[in-house]
Amino acid sequence: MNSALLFYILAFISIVCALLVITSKNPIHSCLFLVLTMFSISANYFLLNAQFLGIVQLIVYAGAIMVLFLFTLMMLNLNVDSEPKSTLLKKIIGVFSGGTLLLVLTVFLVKSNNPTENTLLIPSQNQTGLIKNLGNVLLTNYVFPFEVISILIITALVGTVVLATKDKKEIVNVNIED
Amino acid sequence: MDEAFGQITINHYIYLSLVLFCLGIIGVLTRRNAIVIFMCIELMLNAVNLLMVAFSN
Repeated sequence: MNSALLFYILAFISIVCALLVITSKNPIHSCLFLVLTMFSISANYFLLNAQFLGIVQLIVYAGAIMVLFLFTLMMLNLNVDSEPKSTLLKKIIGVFSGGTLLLVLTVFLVKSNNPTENTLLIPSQNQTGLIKNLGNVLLTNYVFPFEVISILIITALVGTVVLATKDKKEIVNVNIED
Repeated sequence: MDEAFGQITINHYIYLSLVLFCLGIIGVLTRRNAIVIFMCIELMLNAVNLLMVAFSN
């Protein structure tokens, strides 16, 4: 199984899931299809030998941001698409505008004689995305920003906890003073 | 099987990223739900990210 077949399969999954994202009536379904799209794009990153970025895409995008979207949808009870639907004319205009952009850029790409026309991607030669090399560079050349970032994250955590529990103490104090 | 599908050039990634970006644009223009519009913006960001990683090779 070579990487070309894998690329076509992943591209097909990405495009089908993106189509289902924009055409689902239920917003929760759109969210779940977007999670599948994130998975396929992460697999594309692994094909391009950007391992760290692939893992980070899974953890941050599919694991935190999409969960936040689902959390917001479920908390606001938007799972029934209850706002007024856009008319057919608006949908046609939207599809026409996006489709025109796609058509114009595709024709431009096909007709142009760009010098990178048949540049083969040889991902195995790209050594910067590997986790081993990234960790090596991060802990030798960029140690100081690394430590400063960790201090920043701890500050943000402590600040979040302080802000989240501040209101309860004020309520308790007011009740005691009465 | 190696010659059956050809090699993957950078143009393949350009087309894939272009299609995902335009699908994101169509989603932003078509949908009315605010959260779904934000999700289509995320889709556009991901398409551009894929293009950046493809060009870094």
